[in-house]
Amino acid sequence: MKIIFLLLTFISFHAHSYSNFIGHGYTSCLNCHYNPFGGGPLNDYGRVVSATAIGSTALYPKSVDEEKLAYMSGFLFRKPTQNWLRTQINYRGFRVVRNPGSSQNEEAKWINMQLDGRIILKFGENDKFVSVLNYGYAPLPREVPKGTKSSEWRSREHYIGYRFTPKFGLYAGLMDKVFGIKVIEHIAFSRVSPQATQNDQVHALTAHVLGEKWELGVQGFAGNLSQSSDLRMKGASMMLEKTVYDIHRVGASVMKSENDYLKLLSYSTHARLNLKEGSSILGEIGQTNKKTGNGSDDTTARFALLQTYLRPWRGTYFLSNIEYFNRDINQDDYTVRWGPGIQYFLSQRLELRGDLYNTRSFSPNSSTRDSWMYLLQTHIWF
Amino acid sequence: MVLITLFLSLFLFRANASSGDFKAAIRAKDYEKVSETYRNNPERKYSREELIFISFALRKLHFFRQDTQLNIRLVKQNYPKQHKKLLAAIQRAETVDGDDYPEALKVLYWNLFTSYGEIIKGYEKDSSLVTEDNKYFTLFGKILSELEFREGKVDKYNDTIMAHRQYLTNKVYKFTRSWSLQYISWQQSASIQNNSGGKAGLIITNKGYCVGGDAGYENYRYRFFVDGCFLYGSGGVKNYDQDFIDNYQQSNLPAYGVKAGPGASMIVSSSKSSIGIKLPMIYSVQKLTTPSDPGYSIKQGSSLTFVASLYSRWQFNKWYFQTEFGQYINKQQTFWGLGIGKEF
Repeated sequence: MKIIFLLLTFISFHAHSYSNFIGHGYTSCLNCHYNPFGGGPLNDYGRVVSATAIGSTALYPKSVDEEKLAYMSGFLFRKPTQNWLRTQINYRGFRVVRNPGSSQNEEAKWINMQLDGRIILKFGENDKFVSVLNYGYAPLPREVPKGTKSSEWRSREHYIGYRFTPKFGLYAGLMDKVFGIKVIEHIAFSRVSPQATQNDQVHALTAHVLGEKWELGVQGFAGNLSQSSDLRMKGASMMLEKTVYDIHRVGASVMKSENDYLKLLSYSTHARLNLKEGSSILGEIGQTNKKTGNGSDDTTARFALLQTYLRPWRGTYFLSNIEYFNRDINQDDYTVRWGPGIQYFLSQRLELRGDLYNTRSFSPNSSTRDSWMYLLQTHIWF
Repeated sequence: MVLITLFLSLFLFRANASSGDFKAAIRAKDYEKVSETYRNNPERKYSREELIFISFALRKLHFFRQDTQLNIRLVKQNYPKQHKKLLAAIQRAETVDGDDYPEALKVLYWNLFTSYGEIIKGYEKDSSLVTEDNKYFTLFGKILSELEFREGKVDKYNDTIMAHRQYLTNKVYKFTRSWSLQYISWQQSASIQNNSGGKAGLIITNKGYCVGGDAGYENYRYRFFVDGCFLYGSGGVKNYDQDFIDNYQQSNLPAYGVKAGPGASMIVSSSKSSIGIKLPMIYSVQKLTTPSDPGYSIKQGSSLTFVASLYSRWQFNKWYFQTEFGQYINKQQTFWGLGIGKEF
């Protein structure tokens, strides 16, 4: 079980969160998600945005205008008949090819990464009370030995939230950690290093404060209670973002967590820049200070992320994903992962995506060939 | 709209029996016949009703230039005093009361306004002709505004024409140039050979800086350019085939050269963010030392390589940020770079 959770942390690829949509003018995740820090189910407004601003209209006849698209954005293409219940289904799968073109080492596989059923209960003015359950399929990593008994069906998140005022809300339950930019790539060093990636959800109490030009999240967490107690990463995190020049965001995060074997202190600063008409730049730089029980692997790792998005026309995003990782800042060795990608929202419920990853190692004492990988991803939601 | 105008015009002018032929042709939608009759004898003294039919036919046939002449003729022929009075009032910035002017005259101004608009919409390139026609378009727009005639429609149509003029301006290619500084990484290949014909491949991974700039032409949508820079950096190499030769390793080997080539990109946002391709050549000089083991030598790959790269650029006024990721043509190595630049 311990191994599985550790591996889940390092193998997962993607979640449902698009910080780059600041390029459409959305500075806060709360606009489109029930979770004020993004990810998980979209709210009604988010679904309308995905239908009328994000998705291509290539599949629709001209008679279908934006208003019709908005009405069709509900579950099973219908406008909800009541205000208190929302259901969603979400599927994500991809073909991953490692070492493409190599006659000896090429390895290709289709992975059903995610199949979630989501139930959201919401009550009160402006949905001031929400209850979110996100249960579904998450595959065991390929490194898990065959025959290991562990369910591939589990709750990805379940929490309740109450907004005392539009500017202040409390959320309690299993949810993502509040730290840094929640990018789509969950192999991103900036997510893996602080242990804030796809399967690092924790049982937590989170406070969200939304100011005129700033946003604050404070979270205390007791680890994932489905893990054995010695593995649970308990701690706290905080993230502050400030709007600058009306359309951009800069922020900083800090997180301290520990279990019986490991103590982590992560901190980062980030920026999300709106380059207009859907184009944007995301950047984050930070460090994770790791202390192990016996001191044998105490290190400070440094990570950096630069993601650039260009939207030539509606539905299509060209992106560059540039990452830096130095496992130990006292060493000169580091890795740069660089890759172009294309993201195409063929329609409001269908996302197709291709990513190429080139990983290059830099070391004063060696020089190796780059490693390559590409992903072809399908994401469908209802 | 054209039909309404025709109806209004006919209603406001007195009917004339001699316009019967034109009327029949218009009813039969034989606009060519009306136009041809007019073109064959433009100087004939046509009645007002005939001129209105001719105008209608010309507009239907998209002969807007002739239509403006016709409408000016109608104004001069039928409303010289009112026209002069109105122009003088506008010139003196006096308040104009639309009720003092006949509806038929206002319709003629509307025809002139929209015909000049359609003429402008017909231009595919910006030129002095556009400027000239726009002067009249603006004048008749101003007259209609003063008369408070079809105000909403005038504003909307004005916006359409302004957008087209902006489009024509945006289409013009302008010369641009900039300087840039990039942090880059590129690779070189080499091999170690021994006297018995055996060999092992080597990869040199370099990192460094490239200082240079670009120059090219761009309009609102596309950019074509040539860029170049001087690169300087260093890299390391190590042999991993220990069975072949033991411990061939070098660090911080200096490398220098140039990178230059053409590129094309598409501008995708109002802030001039762009995405495109480049086809640069990289000429890089880097000297590997001969192995100390006797019988071994180094064979370096060509110093000249050609790269196909994806290029993207984000503009912040004059400053920009750019990234580039390329694959060597017919080789396995890659090149990448990111940096800043400034237009001047």
